[in-house]
Amino acid sequence: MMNIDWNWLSNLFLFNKDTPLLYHSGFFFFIFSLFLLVYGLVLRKDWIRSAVLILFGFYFYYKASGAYLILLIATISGDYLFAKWITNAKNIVWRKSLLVASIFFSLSFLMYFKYKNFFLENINAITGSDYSFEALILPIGISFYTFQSISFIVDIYSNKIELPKYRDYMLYMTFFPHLVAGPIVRARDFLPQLKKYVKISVSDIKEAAYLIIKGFVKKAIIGDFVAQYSDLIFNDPTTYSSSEQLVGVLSYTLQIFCDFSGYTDMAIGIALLLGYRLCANFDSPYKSLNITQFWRKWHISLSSWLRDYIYIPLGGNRRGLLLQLLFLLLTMLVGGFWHGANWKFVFWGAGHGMLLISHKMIAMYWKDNYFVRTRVFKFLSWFLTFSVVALLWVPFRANSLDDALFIYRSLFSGIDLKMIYGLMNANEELIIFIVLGFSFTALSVSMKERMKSWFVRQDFIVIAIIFIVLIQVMFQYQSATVEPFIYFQF
Amino acid sequence: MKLNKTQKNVLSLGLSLLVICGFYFLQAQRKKSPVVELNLAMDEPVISLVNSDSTDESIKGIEAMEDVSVEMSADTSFQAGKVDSLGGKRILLIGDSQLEGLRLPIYNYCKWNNGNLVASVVWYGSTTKQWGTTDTLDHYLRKYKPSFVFIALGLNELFVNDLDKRREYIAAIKNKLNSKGIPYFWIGPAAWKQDKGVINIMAELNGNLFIDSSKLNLDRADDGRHPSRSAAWVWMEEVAKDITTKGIIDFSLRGEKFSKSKGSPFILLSQ
Repeated sequence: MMNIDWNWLSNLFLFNKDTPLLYHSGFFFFIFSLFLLVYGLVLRKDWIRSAVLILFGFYFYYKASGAYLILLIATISGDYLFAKWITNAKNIVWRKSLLVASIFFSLSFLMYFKYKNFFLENINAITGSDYSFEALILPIGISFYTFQSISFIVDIYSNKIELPKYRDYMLYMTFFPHLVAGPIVRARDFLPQLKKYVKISVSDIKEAAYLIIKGFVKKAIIGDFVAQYSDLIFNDPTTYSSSEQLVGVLSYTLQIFCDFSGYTDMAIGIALLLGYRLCANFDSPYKSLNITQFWRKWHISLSSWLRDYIYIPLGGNRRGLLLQLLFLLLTMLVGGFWHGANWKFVFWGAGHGMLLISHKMIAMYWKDNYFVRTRVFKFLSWFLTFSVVALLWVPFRANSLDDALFIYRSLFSGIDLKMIYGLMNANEELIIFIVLGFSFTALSVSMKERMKSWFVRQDFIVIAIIFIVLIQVMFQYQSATVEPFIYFQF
Repeated sequence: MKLNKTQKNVLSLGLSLLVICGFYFLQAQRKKSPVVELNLAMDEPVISLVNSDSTDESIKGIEAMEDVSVEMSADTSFQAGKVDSLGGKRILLIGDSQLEGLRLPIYNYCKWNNGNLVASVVWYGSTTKQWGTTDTLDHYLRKYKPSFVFIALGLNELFVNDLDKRREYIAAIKNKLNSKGIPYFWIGPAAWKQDKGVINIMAELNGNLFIDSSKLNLDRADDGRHPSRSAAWVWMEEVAKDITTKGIIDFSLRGEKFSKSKGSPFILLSQ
């Protein structure tokens, strides 16, 4: 009789915070292929299709966060009730009160799980009190779904969308491709798709395969490979030379882009396989010529959320230059704090806020200057933008603000070029990955389009071979375990 | 049941993916990879297994390095307490890159004390996580049926912050050995600078069966991190004294140095 290893099976299928369903893991592909077989059979019936998607979303979330699934369902249900009350309310004051209560309701969970210990720690430091910390485990994706639910409520309040069916709202929130790490999808973009007949053509499947494979290469091959080096440097920067730290910073700059944009590509591709389109989240951000452009191209769903639900409601550019700059800084501080309850993220947000302010000021004075339109200026502008973005990833990744400051001191105290030569010789593969990785980020739009259209023209057998070859490459270079996505922690 | 075009597309895709998954699953079964039965095939690290008979240049390189001449006094004056004799014991050595230096001294100490180093398994870049969460250790315990295991692990996790996790991994390694009734001794990492707490956890969980190597003053190799070849002998001498004094195994005898570890496979696992 065959021996069944129940422990192995339960680890595989049940909640285990160390083994969430990662898009680039074998288990995800296995479970997703089973899901597709069920989905294919039921997709003609609206309500069954929705139910199957919602149930899979529940399982997807449960696998990563266990009992916090109940919290997710409670948040969604609570938000929906508020949305219903707001829709039915006639009195403007009552509507506004409900809106505020609803936002507080959504934020309360985020504040409790993500920020409680941070506030206690700082209160203790300032007042000398001794509040004890709770060992809280952060529900995965809470920052993403909280922002998503706030945008839904605000859109309901401002009559930008109609109240959907509870089932549709549940599906919008638990749609698994974006559930745990975005993109932050707006209800007004997603809900109308639920009313349409689901049609998935062969070219849709090929386009989705292209996105998934692209994401897979970025995340599982490039991102995870360079992560091994950046982890080494950032986990103990004091034991490495400034040259090694510089390569570590470049590795992380590449890693975070490949990791997050790779995840997003896979999420968009998987959604497309199910017949839904999610918004783009990246648009070659490392090619940006200034920091304002960078924020239009990096984590677009978050930056546009911050613009629409914080910057503009605060006053945007309608209240004079000084306040506009202040609002910019505040918005970026919120953006930084959204990433994590740690001063290093506040520092990162403040850094970007200051850069945005500086750019706005410079642009005002230089906009008519001939030099601005020259290639030399554009190159310098790109180089400066890339450098400051890379430098600001240091506090974002460092284990503490102290570590980040140590790396800054080390980088700015001089880099021995002879060491770089030795380092390149000793880490050939790493350097090749870094160069190739950044080269991919620099590809032109037309080149990317050509690659995509070439891919979509291929037969499925060619696509399958490409996929299998890439899996082999991943095996060759991957670290010992399947690395989680960086943005899972937010 | 009549299916429309979209349904046919989705079902074909599902089936194709299932076939690919099945292919990888079967491939993994065939390989009988020693690592990670907890994960599906596609989650497994690629491992290159090499034994001492291999003509692989890297092995030759390592064996050449073992010819480093080290003056060892036949320190027969060391007096041990009444301890378990090593006679006939099958010793297995596992761990991270520290094994490169430790392997030959351990081989010698085993020989001098009538033991037999049956194999050394070095997993480059590994930490307690890899050894604790995969079935690699179980595999080699099954394969070599050791009566004693030396673990030299921890150099790659000196600066980790997830100490609770490390505690779990160390306990898992310990449990793997305890559940099979195999005695062991953990040679703590030869840290070149202050760690962030993992050594204390190793000491706490292993008690008497642990030596804190970070307290030893060892010369370093060119990389500044690993003990030099000659320092590895000094290191092993301290280990031998410690393990004998604690009454775990009698490692008190010294003899003529073997410059090669003949008949003792050196298995390299790389990520």
